[in-house]
Amino acid sequence: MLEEINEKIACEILFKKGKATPRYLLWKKRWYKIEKVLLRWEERKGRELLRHFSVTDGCNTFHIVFYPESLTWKLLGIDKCD
Amino acid sequence: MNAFFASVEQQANPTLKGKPVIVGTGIGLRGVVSTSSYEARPYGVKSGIPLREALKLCPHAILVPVDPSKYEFVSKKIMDIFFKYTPLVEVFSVDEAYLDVTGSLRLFSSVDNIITKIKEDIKREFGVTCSVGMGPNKLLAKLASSLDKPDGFARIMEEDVPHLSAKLEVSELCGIGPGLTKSLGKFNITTMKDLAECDVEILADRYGIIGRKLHLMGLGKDPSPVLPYFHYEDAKSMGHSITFGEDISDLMKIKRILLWLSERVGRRLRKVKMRGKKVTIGIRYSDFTTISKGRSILQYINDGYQIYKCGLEIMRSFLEPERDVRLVAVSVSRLVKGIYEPDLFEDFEKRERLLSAVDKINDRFGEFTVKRALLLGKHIRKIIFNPLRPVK
Repeated sequence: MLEEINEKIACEILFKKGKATPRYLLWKKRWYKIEKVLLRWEERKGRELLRHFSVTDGCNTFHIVFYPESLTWKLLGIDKCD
Repeated sequence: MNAFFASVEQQANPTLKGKPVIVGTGIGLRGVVSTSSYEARPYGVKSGIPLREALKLCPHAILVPVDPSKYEFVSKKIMDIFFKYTPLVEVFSVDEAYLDVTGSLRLFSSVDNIITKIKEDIKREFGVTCSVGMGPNKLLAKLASSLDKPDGFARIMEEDVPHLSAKLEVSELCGIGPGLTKSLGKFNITTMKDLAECDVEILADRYGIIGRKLHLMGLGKDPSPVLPYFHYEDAKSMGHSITFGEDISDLMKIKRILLWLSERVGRRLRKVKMRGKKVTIGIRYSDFTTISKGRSILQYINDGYQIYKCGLEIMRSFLEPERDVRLVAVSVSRLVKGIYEPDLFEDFEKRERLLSAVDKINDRFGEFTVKRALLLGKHIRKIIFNPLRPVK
């Protein structure tokens, strides 16, 4: 079950073939290497189109979202493996 | 799609895979099961049952709050996959579609090949499985899709109908709900075969145009074509409802919720440039007694506040004070598109300009950025603006 976090994070992105794929995320001074994007979806909030990603570092599952107007990333939730 | 919402959640969070997952709507445990994974179904967890009951049946199930934007996005992407194989795609619901592949056979050699490719594409992209039914018409294709679940494929051709029809109950046919099943049962029509053998004139006499359609359904025939999106008919009604986290008897609170629902209906109507002439209000009390009343009005409207005023009058005519209310619903019907009906006695132009300005702001910054003062306040926000908070 996803634990709600709702904190700003930093992300390193690979832009390839018209797709943005998160590669690393920085949360609480720790870098997590993203092994796989499990699901991506979009959500419209007014004019802003939020990009949601469900990603895993091979152990934890993260729900992250990109806000294009402020160019910021947020970690919405995490399912820790330990 | 098989257990669509639950499958999408399992794809988004692999720790849910192989576990009983219940996707719930509503607030807390007062909501209902939207869908459940196949792991939860042997325990009797079905769509539509209260969450509290579902958790009694399967106490170790994992509850996940429904996330409409996620399912809507995945659904659209899956529909895009269908369009790779045929332009004749009729979206039947968020997780169901009819495809007419007659014209695509020269490109993809066979129906089986198309089905295999579609199933592979969906599984690869979204980790979701689907059941496919094939038939000469929509009725039989839909029926076939329910024969081999999950992740199956079945076909029903016209020649199979005589063997199947004696076994198939009328309730299994798409379009025959519990009410009609009960009504047909009174005339000893319980199977598809009974329906086919019943005289068409008797059915037409009892059910009108539907009676003739029912007779064809009994024979396994369905003349309706696959209607792609560019042939869709306009909506006949639009509505919203909400089940509260706790029962409410305070009239002021109910009024505010009615306004919130009415504003949402008005906004949707304006988005598609429609107006309606009939407002219907539904109330469900805590003992599940449900009352619904509608009233036609003189003008075509799409302003949330006008819908609210009309709805309030209707609600006052039947709402029993001091009785706890569980659910409120508002809908507008008798819809027409593009009609412009200025009011001779009110400042119509001013109201239209105001609505247009508010719509523009809410388009830009999100729903209810600008709202009526009645919708302000922490208490109302708790009830209506966060209805899908995670269930515990």
